[in-house]
Amino acid sequence: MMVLDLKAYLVLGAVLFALGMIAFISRRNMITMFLGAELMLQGVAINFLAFSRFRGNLQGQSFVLFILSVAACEAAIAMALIVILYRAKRSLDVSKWQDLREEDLEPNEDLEIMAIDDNQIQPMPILPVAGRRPVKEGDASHV
Amino acid sequence: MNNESWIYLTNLSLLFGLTNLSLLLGWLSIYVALPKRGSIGSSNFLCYGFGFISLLIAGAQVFREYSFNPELVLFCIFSFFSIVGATLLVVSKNPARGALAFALTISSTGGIFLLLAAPFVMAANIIVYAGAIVVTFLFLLMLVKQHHADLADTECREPFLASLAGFALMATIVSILTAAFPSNSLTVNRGEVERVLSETKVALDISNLSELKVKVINGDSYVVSRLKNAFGGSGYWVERIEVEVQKNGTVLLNKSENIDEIKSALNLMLDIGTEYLKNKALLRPEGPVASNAGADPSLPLAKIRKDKTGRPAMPADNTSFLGKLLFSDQLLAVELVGLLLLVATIGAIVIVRKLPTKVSL
Repeated sequence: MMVLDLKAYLVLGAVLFALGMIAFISRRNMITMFLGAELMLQGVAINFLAFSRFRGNLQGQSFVLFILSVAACEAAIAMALIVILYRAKRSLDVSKWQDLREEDLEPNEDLEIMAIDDNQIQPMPILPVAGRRPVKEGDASHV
Repeated sequence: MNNESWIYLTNLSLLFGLTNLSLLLGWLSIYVALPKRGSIGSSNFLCYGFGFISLLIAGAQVFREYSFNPELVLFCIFSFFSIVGATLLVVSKNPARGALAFALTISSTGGIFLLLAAPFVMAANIIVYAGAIVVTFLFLLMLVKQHHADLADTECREPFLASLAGFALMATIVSILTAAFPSNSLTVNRGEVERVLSETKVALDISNLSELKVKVINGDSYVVSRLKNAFGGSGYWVERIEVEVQKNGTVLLNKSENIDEIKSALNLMLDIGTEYLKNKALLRPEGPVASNAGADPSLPLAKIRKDKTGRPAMPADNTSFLGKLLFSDQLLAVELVGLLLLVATIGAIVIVRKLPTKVSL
């Protein structure tokens, strides 16, 4: 019998990494795919911290801080990309972008999802300019 | 369940090993639970059952392998919730629920980070992930609100192959780790060291040469080899015994007939053993440490100061040492990460800059 060792933490990291990988390669919603990628980063962070703990050394922890910063950048860029992709196709489905595939690759079986249902398209919400109250018809002028 | 199928299951578990059985059940549970074409959710109980049996088997393995202490219980609780959160993220049909399950995973991994002596990283992780990323994506979900169930959420690409690939990766890593850590290679046997030292101390009072030899030198009771084994068989402390006590093989205690030589050698051994025990109880490393980052990476494992569980000890001032490390050794990397954040901010603004009032496809 022994105290908890490196192996237990590495196994946990591997489990989180593999689950994140499943989310990334099999889900079609872009947001779920992104969260799956973040889950893989968590698994890697646990690995770094475990090695750092069982080496008595802080280098691994500083590496995790860099992973965190890169994940924050990635989240900002991913959010911007998802917004413009949604704007173009009105869907979070990543399969609708299969026309970006290489020339010699077969298309996905779900060709019907490529058709965009125009009835479902609604304009993005328009936010008022900051500091000014949007004027509504019949609104009492109480300000 | 009848008797025969029980026997079959037992044979199956013996064939695969309990770890692989747990992985197999986990794979089945994920495969059943992944949203597929035509599945309405009638298989929920099946996948919950498989998942919980799989986690139970894994937990039983952990409890069988490690000694029972609070750290083990906390580890099991935190890893249970992080794995459950991750699974819910993988199988959720509603991306908002997936994001909340991800927040559960993040908070539980925060507990794991604390167990790994990383309080600052835990705080930063929870603030950045649960506080910023998950909330940002919930906002994003609100902005791109879908009015009907989307195919993207209710169908997976290749659920069988994807889950098989994921669990093949998991099984590979787990079996490699199981092969790489067969025994308690990191645990130092503190009790054995203390026992050897006290026996040696008692034996030093004996003035009869043959009696002394029978007591601590001959055969299985040979204290020097016992102490070397207790130090882990190799490394810094064993080398010290070989150089200082055995003088690189020139002093052989079990052949020596001079009681004074034997006693001075045993005294030297006592000193080294006492220093070893004292060294393990130190709060801070002795001597210069590279940039306050804890043990020098080039040190062999046996030279690293250990805490009382026998694992290498972290620096006592964890967070402040981390800060010193970041702003001395890794200053350039910190600056570059700052630059990266700035570039990412500008890039995100540029990408979504023009907000069209009318959709043009």
